[in-house]
Amino acid sequence: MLKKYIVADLFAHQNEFSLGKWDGKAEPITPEANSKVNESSMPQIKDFIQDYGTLSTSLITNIKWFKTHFTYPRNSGLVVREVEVGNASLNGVVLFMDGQVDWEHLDRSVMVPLMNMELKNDDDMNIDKMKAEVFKEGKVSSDSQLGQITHSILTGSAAILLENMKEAIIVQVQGWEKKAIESPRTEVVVRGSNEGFTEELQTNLSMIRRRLRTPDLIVEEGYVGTLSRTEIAIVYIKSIANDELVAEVRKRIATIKYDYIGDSGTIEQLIEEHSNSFYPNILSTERPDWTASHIADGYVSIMVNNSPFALIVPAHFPLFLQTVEDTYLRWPYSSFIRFIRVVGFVIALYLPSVYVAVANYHQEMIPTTLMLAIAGTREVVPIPLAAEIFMLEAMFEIIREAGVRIPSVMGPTIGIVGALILGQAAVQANIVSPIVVIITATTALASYTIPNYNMQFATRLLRFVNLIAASFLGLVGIVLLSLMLWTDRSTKNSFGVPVLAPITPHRADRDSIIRRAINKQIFRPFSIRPKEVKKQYTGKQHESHKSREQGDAE
Amino acid sequence: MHHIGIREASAIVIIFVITKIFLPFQRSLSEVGGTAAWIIILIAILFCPLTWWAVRGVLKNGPEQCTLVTATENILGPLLGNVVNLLYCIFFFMITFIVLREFSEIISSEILPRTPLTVILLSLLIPIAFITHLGIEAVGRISSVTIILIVGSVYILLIGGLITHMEPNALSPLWGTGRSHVLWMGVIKSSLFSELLVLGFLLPKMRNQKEWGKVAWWSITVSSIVLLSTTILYLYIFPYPTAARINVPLLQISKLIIFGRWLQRMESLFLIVWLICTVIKLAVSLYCTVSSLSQIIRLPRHQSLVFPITIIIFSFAMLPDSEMTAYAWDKNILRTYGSIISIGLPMLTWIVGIIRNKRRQV
Repeated sequence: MLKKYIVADLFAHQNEFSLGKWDGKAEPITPEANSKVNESSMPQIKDFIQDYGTLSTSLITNIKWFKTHFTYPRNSGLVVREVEVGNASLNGVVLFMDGQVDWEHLDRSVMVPLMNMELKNDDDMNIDKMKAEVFKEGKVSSDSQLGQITHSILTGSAAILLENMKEAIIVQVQGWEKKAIESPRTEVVVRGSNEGFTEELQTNLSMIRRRLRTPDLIVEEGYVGTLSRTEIAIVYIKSIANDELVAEVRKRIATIKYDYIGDSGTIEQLIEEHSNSFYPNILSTERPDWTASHIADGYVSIMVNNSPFALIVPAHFPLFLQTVEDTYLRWPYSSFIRFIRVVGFVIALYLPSVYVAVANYHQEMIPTTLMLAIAGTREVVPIPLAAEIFMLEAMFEIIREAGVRIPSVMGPTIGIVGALILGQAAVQANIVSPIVVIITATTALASYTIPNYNMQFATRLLRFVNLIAASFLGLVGIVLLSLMLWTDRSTKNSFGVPVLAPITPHRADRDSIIRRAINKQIFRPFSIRPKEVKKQYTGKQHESHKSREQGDAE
Repeated sequence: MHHIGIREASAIVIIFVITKIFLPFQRSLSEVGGTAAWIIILIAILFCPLTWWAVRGVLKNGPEQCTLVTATENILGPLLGNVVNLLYCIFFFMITFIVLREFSEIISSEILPRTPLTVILLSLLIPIAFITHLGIEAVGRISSVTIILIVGSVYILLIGGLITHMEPNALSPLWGTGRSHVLWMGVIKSSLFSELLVLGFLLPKMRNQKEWGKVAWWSITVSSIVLLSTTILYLYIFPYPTAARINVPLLQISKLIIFGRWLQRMESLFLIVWLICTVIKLAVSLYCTVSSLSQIIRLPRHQSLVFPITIIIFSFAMLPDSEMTAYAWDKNILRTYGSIISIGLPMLTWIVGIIRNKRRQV
């Protein structure tokens, strides 16, 4: 039975996570609110490993189990190196994966100590003593769980199994070819660091740690993907990032049920709120300095092994039109280039459709001389204007996609064929008018002013949707469609923050479209509700006080 | 939870009230009051606070967390209360279909002459229904951004018009068509602000009751200034004899503007801004219609009614024979008897509420 007085709409609960209330000014974070945060934990490797039991005391049984488990010898890769330990003729075996280990490291830290080990009495068989006295080099641990040992072997450790011992010694001897740190491929800047993330998670984390040298920088590691078992890390500053936000990130990562995680792009799709949205909801970047500056502002970064792209959440709209360079330039320059980017975004989204609308439906808006010029070029073209623009835009999209796939040696040639010859020939053959070529070229250039790759996709897709609207109803069509899309966008959240914040709902922000002088930027973005809103500190305030501490140490 | 703040609520109310400036509103006023059209608005402005006080009175006399509809039902009882609520619903419904038809006619005659009216009506109704479906929070957010664009464009337009053409003695004679006539018309045309009734639907969506007054006074002030200044400036640009003959005044001004050889005939650009304004206004009135109806028939959410009501609105929008009929309905029904709904009914409910509460205390 419904309540007698129901306020329609007001009790319609949004199940979505929201980072605070959005109907007024941002409220300060109370300690009570923080204490209510539900702390879920990052998924660990034990959540993925089946329970196969523990090692037996018989070495032969253990070797047989591992051989069966790895389908040895049909499945190449597993190396079973049977050895006689020291002078006591004790049988043992070293298990590792070929190609996952560094041979020199393996010899030095496992094989040589194992061969030279002296077992004088039973006490020497103590596993802790062996770890302390024999295998001194590198990261050494022990385990008795078969599943856990299997995982260690797969990730590049050597497992040492000895007769009559119910535990295996695991020595980390990983070694594989790594790519060196290179400059970012998609986010190039003139002023600023030229380092980009690599495919190695630990290298990427070290790049962040080098930039944020505070014990408050928290890196929580876990695993995702039932088959890939990919390492994932969330990075944030304990004393700044909102606890609710961090807990939500952890929760969403913990709920991922997927077999193969190849890149942070897969994670992005699995944890975002609106998978059907045209616009990206999470910021991805391959720049460590851009990531570190966001972490310092209270955002949370998600980094995935094997991916040179870090994710930053929450990502509200203005972030997609900003670059790290803006912070390094003096405010008039950075505000100017940001303004150019906004103009570029609008042109990329609307220019072709506005041209179709004006030329087809609102000719009176065009000054007479220009109208005559347009009419002159259009006179010989047999195709309707909208079809003409559609054709050229589609052609450009083909060239753009081909440009990414073409082998780099042929790239410039094809670019010239595509852009110059096709464009020129199309105009000479009277298939398109020159002004349409100008419009398409301007739009293409404008779309490259958008710094974010995903946001470029959004404009590319929506440009065609706008074109359809413009060819049916002119400017009216564009406005009605945009109104629908933007209103819809205004209701969407990215990790609990409305995507159009701080524009609407309004939050005071000195670093959104226009960037104020750096010494005037006193506050961190209010939209993401950081615990510590003030940016400019005095003295040692950087490190968290005992009273604010919410870490694991307590 | 769908809650809105001062910014959003004020923007909604302002847009809801001022959209009429893009319709033949100033023309109808100069028809009635001649050069004293602005005095009519001035008098109408004096009546605005009545709607606000009445709505506040009703809400404060109702149960906790009530809306205008639930409070009215609580005060007047299920039968009479629902009759009054149904009148509110019909009032918003009429605003929706009449304004929809009027604006569609303007689009049809001014920017898309070859597009059939039904296509224009439908293409306006789809975004309106879509936005209404998203809820009042979405409308509030988009209103708070576009309000600057809307009010800004109006003033750019008026300044441009004044630069192009101005009649210095436009406002004389002061009393226009006659003092008593103008004064009486001012009282009747208090219905120009009958849209303020929307406060009864918006205020309960605010978390903080203390902010109600701010929303009401901000929206009354800004919309009064816009309505008054557009009328005065219109009279300056088009003196009385012409003013009473122009169909859509602001559109005509936009056609006049010449900011130089390259910037002229920008009416389509201005129409775009007005289109945004109108779609928001219609989304708000459709929201109020479905929201009141859903509360009358005890539906927990308004969304389920949006689609059926939109179809009915489309059918009703086709009822007027022509633009002039739609306009006459607006002028003779909405703008003549509107204040009975917006001031009369809430006042009545408020008074009954006070009497009832006093009796209960006794």
